[in-house]
Amino acid sequence: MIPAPKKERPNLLAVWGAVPRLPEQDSKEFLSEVFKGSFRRLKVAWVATLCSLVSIAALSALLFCFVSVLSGLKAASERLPEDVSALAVIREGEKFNGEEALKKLSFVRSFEVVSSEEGLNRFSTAVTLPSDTLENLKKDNPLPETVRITVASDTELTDLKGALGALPEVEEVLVDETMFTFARKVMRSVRTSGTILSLVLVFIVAFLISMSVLVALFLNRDEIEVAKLCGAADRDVLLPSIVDSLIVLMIGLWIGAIFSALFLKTLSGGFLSEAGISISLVSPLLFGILLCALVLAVSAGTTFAFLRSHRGTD
Amino acid sequence: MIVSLQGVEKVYPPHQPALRKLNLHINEGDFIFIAGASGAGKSTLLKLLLGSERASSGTVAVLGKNMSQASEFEIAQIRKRIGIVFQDFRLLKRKTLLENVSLPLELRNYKKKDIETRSLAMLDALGLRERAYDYPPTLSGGEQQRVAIARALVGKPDLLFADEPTGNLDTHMSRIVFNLLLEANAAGVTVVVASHNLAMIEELNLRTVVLDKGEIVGDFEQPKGVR
Ligand SMILES: Nc1ncnc2c1ncn2[C@@H]1O[C@H](COP(=O)(O)OP(=O)(O)OP(=O)(O)O)[C@@H](O)[C@H]1O
Ligand SMILES: [Mg+2]
Repeated sequence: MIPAPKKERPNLLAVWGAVPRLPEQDSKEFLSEVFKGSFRRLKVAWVATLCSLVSIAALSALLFCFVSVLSGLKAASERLPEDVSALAVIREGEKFNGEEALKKLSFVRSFEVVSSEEGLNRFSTAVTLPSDTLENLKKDNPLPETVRITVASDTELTDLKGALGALPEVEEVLVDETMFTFARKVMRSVRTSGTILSLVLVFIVAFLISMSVLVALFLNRDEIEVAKLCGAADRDVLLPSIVDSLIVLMIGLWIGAIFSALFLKTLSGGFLSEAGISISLVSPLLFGILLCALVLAVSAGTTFAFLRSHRGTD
Repeated sequence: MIVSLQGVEKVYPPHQPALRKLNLHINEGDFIFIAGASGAGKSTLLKLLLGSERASSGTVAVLGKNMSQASEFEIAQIRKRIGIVFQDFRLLKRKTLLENVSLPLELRNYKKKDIETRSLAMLDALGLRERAYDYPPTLSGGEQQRVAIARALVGKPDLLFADEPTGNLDTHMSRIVFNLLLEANAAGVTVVVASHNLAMIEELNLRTVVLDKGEIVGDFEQPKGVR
């Protein structure tokens, strides 16, 4: 027979009494516990951790490279117009009189009048010719006087062409328009496709992160259910999962950044610098994109996770 | 009143009735049995009290909160004051006994060292101190049941729900467990036990509510001899 309940019950009271009143943990301690727990979980599930690390690193390296090259191209395309100039060819035997007028034109950056003698001098220093040929050339001097003009941008070239062409002494104005617009077009398409691609990459990174939160929740769904029945709130369940995936994300991003920096360094020593494209790893665009990816990932992951865990309650 | 049910009905979708027009009040410090045949609705009643199922109609109030209106966070707060022994134990297979028993304390954010001390003491009280670092699947049914009871009691809850807590135990172990529940009750815990172990109910002779097909068919202060 069961003994009647006694007044004094040492067993259970001793258990509860062993730690009289447990102090509430402060939030700092709570967070550090979450972090410690994360590292423990990541260590246990090291295969999954490694897989997501590799994929995030690869994707972010791609993203980094892309954005860096992109910003290099952008800077290069902004510099491009400065190098473009027009060439006015003066009629034989005449002199250029439009210097004052050119100075007044605001879009003209600089200009240089090259007389026919000067032109020949430059020509002869640039090209090595047999001395008798050079003598013949000097005697006839077939080179006309020219004016080389640099403008701020290509839109002003048409205006310039009109203005110069109106001068009586100008025989013709040469503008390498076709070449110029082609370069522009290429730049523009590279930029748009690059932007689209990096946006896609952002979404992929975000998707990966939110998936890893979801997978973490899915793998632990039994434990989460029991924890919830024992009094775990959504945030008790979600915070560790989000911290887990953020840790993986951070490490993955760093690995990706290091690899892409190494890659870009070898690249920028090569053909890119010859093409006049300088690459900076620290561009505001890059930070913007990364921030987007992070915000997107965390919010998407959290939302999905909340939806899931709510479904798990009932 | 720590638990109060008023006109509670539960119909599992699509149309599986489990509880009908239930009125039940439990006072603080009570020790109450919910008896009834298999399928009578005992587990369903406990699920409503825990907020893991919602009543189809009527009001369920636990610890002063209306469970059908409480938010997710409020329900979590209430559950932190409740200890529960599930009919199927629901131990975490991939965690040691110590970690299993620690769970309710961890959810209350206690200090690591305190959690371990108290959880080990709790396991000790149930004779499982030596198995603290083993995993649940290596335990017998009765041992697992004792772990479940340890987990329910470790946080010194205000309310204890036990669904068939002695279903896998022999008479001797059943007595040890009921002694523990009585101890908890004497220390101020309100205890609700769902059971069809009529022998034990008669032996204890405490308030017993009898369910049949989802309806209360009896509420006895002293069930001894009623059968
Ligand atoms: N999730 C569910 N979906 C549909 N019907 C359910 C569900 N859970 C329980 N039921 C039904 O509700 C009724 C009551 O079930 P409940 O589990 O509450 O019985 P019980 O009294 O705990 O029985 P036992 O003593 O066997 O544990 C049963 O008819 C059962 O089939
Ligand atoms: Mg049941």
